Amino acid sequence: MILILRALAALIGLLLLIVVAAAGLAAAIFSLQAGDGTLSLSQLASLLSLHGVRDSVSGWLTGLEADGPVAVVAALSGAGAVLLGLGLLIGALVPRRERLLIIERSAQGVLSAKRRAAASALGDLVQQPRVVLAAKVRVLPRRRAIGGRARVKLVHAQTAEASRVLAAARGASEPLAEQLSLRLRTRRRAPRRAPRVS
Amino acid sequence: MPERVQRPASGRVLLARLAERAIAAQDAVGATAGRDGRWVTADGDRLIDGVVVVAAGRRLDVELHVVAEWPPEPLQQLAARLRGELELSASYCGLSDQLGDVDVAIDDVCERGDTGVVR
Amino acid sequence: MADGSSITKDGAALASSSIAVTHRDSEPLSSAKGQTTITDGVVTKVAGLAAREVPGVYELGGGTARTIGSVTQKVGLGDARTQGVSVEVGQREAAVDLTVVIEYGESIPQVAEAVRNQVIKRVEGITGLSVTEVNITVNDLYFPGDHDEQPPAPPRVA
Repeated sequence: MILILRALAALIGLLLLIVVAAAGLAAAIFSLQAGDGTLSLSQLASLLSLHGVRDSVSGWLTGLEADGPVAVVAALSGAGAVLLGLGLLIGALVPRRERLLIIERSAQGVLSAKRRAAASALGDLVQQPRVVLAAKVRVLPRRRAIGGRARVKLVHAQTAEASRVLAAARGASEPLAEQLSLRLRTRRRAPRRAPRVS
Repeated sequence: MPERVQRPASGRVLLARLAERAIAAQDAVGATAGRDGRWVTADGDRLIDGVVVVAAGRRLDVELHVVAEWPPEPLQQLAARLRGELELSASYCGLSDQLGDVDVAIDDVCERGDTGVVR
Repeated sequence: MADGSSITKDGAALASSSIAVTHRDSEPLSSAKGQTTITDGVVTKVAGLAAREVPGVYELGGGTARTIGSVTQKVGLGDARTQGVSVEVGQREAAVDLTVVIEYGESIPQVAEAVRNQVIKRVEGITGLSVTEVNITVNDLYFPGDHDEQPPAPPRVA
């Protein structure tokens, strides 16, 4: 549920950003086209044809004032809008709980690590051998169980032998991966552009 | 300008002074008046930090607020010793029949070098 | 408790969140009655200081906590010793949650075990509470050569 609310909050946030950007663009266009005129809300409104928008919206709102089933729809829509607003607020404000990598669990407590910290540390280690040019590590902890997987994608020098690269990267990162109860899965590739030296 | 009249100290203030001395006698313990400075007893021109004495009829209940230096001894032991010191001093000064409860609050633990307790 | 006193949760008088011990029996050093109150903040600080005593622990807290902590400390609201430490205190027990930064090269499980043992020893020895669990989250690994946010402040009192 929280995920849906978060997604909705992100979507509405994006739409509002677009609206603000559009308003800014309108103000910029106005500034260019206004000539000697000063920026005023009424001139901005006429530039954006807001009077026409107002007339059509007011017609719609007048229709909603009618008795009978339309009033019910209006009331339900209003209530729905309030609930949606509250839901969006919750979605935006509830703090995200980062999924932790559980290393050990005992009667005396739990030892865990933050995913990002584990990934960052493994990434630093994997990049230590000279043949490794860049690396990206993603840690995937098991839900509620100990350990998890670490996906390592590394870029190595063109001239380096693939098996050597993998061995070097594993050698550098395996001690830490073992401590963190992680299984390493390593993929490698050479850089995309053509080598400049042979 | 008339001279300021020195009034004899009340049992409350005497007990506060004894409590102050009991705290000062402990190693690695200091008094604290609290963030807003409310744990004090007025003694003439000065304030006795970390001691609050409340008179309830003839009885005087004492609150001590202290800060211990790291690593402290077991805090229950520290509190018991403070009570003992105060009780002994009160009996020497003839205040033991007035002495009521002695509550000890350990409000903080400080490392040497922090503002607070350093002896 | 073994010394004949009991622990009650004291929500009023001396502190907003604390444990209080009411001594009913005479003790060897005193026959006065009274409560001993230990605030939750003291328990937190004891746990934090105990964790810092363990070799291999570089810092407590981490990331956003340390950034916010350094800001609150500058305006006199925060305390570095309780950063990264959270305790839940009951009548006779406490549970501790710690967020730590461990030095790279140290065995994480071994350092964590040492932290656990030290925290239990200090909290139980100093406050008299029984520690039910110590949960440790490794927030980061410190590599030598990492840039620190700020150097440790020199002591203000000699």
